[in-house]
Amino acid sequence: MATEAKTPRLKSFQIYRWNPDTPEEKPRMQTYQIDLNECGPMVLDAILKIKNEQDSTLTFRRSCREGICGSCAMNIGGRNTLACLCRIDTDTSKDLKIYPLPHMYVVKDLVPDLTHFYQQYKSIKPYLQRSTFPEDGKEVLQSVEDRHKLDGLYECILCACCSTSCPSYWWNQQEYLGPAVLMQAYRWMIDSRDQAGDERRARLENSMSLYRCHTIMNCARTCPKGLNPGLAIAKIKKSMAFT
Amino acid sequence: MAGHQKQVVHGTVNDAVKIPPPDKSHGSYHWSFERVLAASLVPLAAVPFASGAVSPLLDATLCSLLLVHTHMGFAACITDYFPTREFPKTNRAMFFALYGGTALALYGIYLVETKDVGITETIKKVWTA
Repeated sequence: MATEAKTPRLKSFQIYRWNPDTPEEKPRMQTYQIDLNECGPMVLDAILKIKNEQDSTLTFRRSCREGICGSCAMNIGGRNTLACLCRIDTDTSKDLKIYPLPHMYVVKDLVPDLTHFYQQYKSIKPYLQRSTFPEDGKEVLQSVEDRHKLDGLYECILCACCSTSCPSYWWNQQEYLGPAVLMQAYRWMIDSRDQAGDERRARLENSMSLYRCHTIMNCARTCPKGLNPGLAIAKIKKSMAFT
Repeated sequence: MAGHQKQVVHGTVNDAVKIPPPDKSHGSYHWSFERVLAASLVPLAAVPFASGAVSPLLDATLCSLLLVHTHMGFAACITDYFPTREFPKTNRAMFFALYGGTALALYGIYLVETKDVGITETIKKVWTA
């Protein structure tokens, strides 16, 4: 095989470790070395290789390995992103640092506790609400134009990269809903089939849920799916202004 | 800081977070007022440059609106960094200080506008001095 002749390209990965079974031990960074010639191109490939071959105690979430499930969201090289969509920087002189999503409670190693994030998602009632349904019992129809309004919103996989990159969410996540959840709130507000828009907006009429957004825009910068939660939040504010 | 050290998440993923009762004065009215205020400061600040002459009434309006604008900006900072949820006492003290400072500044504006030459002229003097 041609690969046997290649010189190994050893890259160091510094990974955040914390074990709830030994809470008296402080979190630490553990360094692993990987030969990039023997590893897939993505960061997820590298941490899977570490778990398979070097340290089976390394704990992280992963599922689809193609950016559609949102499980492997973590902070890689200072940026919240999905490990499966993030290429390994092939510059072997630099270490790659991997942390769990910032400012969340850590369950173990790279696994953050997203319970509160899901509770916030539940609070916006992310489902179709109508008082009447078509007589014929069939689906609620939508024009092509109205369907286009959902583009850029429905693709969100709730990986929490954006919310955990938002300083406002760091300071006030107990009360501020955060970019991911607010973008989904907007996704249901502008759905032509939904009839609960006024109630959805009324639930945001307080100082904390929505208005802690100060358009810092880390959310749009970090989104691994290229979406723009900051814009969606601005549109919610606009739709509620002067009413 | 106690709130930061307790790693407690109440309930399960199926319990929606509680949302405070709707109050437009802290929601959309507050936001709209902030935007209108900020937008109205632009022409008010531009007029003295354009016309050269400054009417005392216009000058006083600019000052007062600027003060309200600043007050709301600081209030937002306090809500961000010292939320009542975690720092009820600090929050109250901060707002007390903010209202005190704003009242003092308002009195200062009153003095500058009535006994002195007004804020635009004062800035002009400081600028050229």
